[in-house]
Amino acid sequence: MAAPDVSSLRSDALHGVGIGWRPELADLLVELGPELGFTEMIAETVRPHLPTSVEVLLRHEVPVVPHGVSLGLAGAQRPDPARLKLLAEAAVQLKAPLVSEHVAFVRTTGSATALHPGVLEAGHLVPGPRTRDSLAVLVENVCEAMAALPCPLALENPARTMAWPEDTMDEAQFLGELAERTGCLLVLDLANLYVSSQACGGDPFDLVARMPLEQVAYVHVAGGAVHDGVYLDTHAHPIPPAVFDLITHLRDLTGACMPGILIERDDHIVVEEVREEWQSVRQCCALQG
Amino acid sequence: MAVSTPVLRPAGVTASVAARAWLGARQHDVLAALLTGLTPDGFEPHSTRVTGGVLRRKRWLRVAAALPELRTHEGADRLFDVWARQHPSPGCGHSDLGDFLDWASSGHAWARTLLRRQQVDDAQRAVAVVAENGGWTLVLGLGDVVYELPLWRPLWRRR
Repeated sequence: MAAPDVSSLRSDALHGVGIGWRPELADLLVELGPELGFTEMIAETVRPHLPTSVEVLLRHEVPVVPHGVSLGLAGAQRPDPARLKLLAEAAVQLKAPLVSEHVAFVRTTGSATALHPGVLEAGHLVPGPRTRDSLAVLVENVCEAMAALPCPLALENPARTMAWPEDTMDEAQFLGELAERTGCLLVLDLANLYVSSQACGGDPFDLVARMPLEQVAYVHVAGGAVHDGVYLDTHAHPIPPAVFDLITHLRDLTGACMPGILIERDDHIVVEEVREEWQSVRQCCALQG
Repeated sequence: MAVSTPVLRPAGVTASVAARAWLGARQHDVLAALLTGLTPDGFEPHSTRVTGGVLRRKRWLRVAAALPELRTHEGADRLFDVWARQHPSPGCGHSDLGDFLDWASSGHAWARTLLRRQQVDDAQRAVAVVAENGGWTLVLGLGDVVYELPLWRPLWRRR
């Protein structure tokens, strides 16, 4: 396989190693200060009065990316203008270089039956089918979202713990065409790729190599655990060696142009553990020689 | 098992309209099956069972975040899963909490206690007397503040 053309990698991608902002990690992020490549806040939690720690990071010129979880761009409905407005406002408030969301749906509407109501909230990000038709809908939704936002939009690949029988494309093909047709950026979630490969098959190293790396704004990594025989991205456990291997693989593919990596930890947060992981990821990203 | 492809598009209708209609219906059916613990048409049963479990677990975590005391009652999470399968959520975690406690109250004293407390927190009632820790507590809501007054505690507690 030919190596990707790294000369086309984005110069405006985020760099370094960051940690997702959580209240429990606020002090650590402030302590790391300018050494922290960047951070992320869940967009739906951004309020007019920012946490003091976030204001400190902004003063240190640490980029803060609002990361949305409720748009549901891979759903059948058009993006909700009210949710788009909130995402846009978060971007302005944080002076964000970009905003991010997911290639997933979070709610559906349909005919109410005796078994379920007309509107269903998933309460989580659910990956949809990867077909030409679902891609066409997603492209329309993404274009509409991008037009409403004051800065670039980056979309994250979801964790797939189940395969849709309708799938006709793999993740690299789907995201590649999405980026080509919309111009959107990508958040390459290596942990999610690992989850998907464990549950649905496929070689995550091959997928990484075939991703449109020139469109990757930044990377996500996180830990997980096996539950009932299925590996889940819990964001509550240490990053496994397999995901570190994917970081190394990406480093080898991109060299000096490697996008920034953000560590996600949402639960069972042990500050020193996260600090050590941050140092480990930094070492993993260091170039050879 | 193969699943039927999207319906043929009627003349004059753009591809995305028909595609949205099919996608919406299919996602709705799949999500409904996941939330109720069933296997959607064409899906592998084990992985969809695990995926549905993840969605219900996330729902439980939101409810437990709204009322941390819920976690202290053994089996509350399993009971919540039973309720969640029967009641796919149309709304927010807060409404889930009240609806679940209301359902669980018929069979569990701890749920009746928590429901009365929650109703004071939500200003649905001004006062409640709840039995807990072997004694009785008066819970009183005044405006945005909730007060608790232990009415009676046993001198001795059985270990």
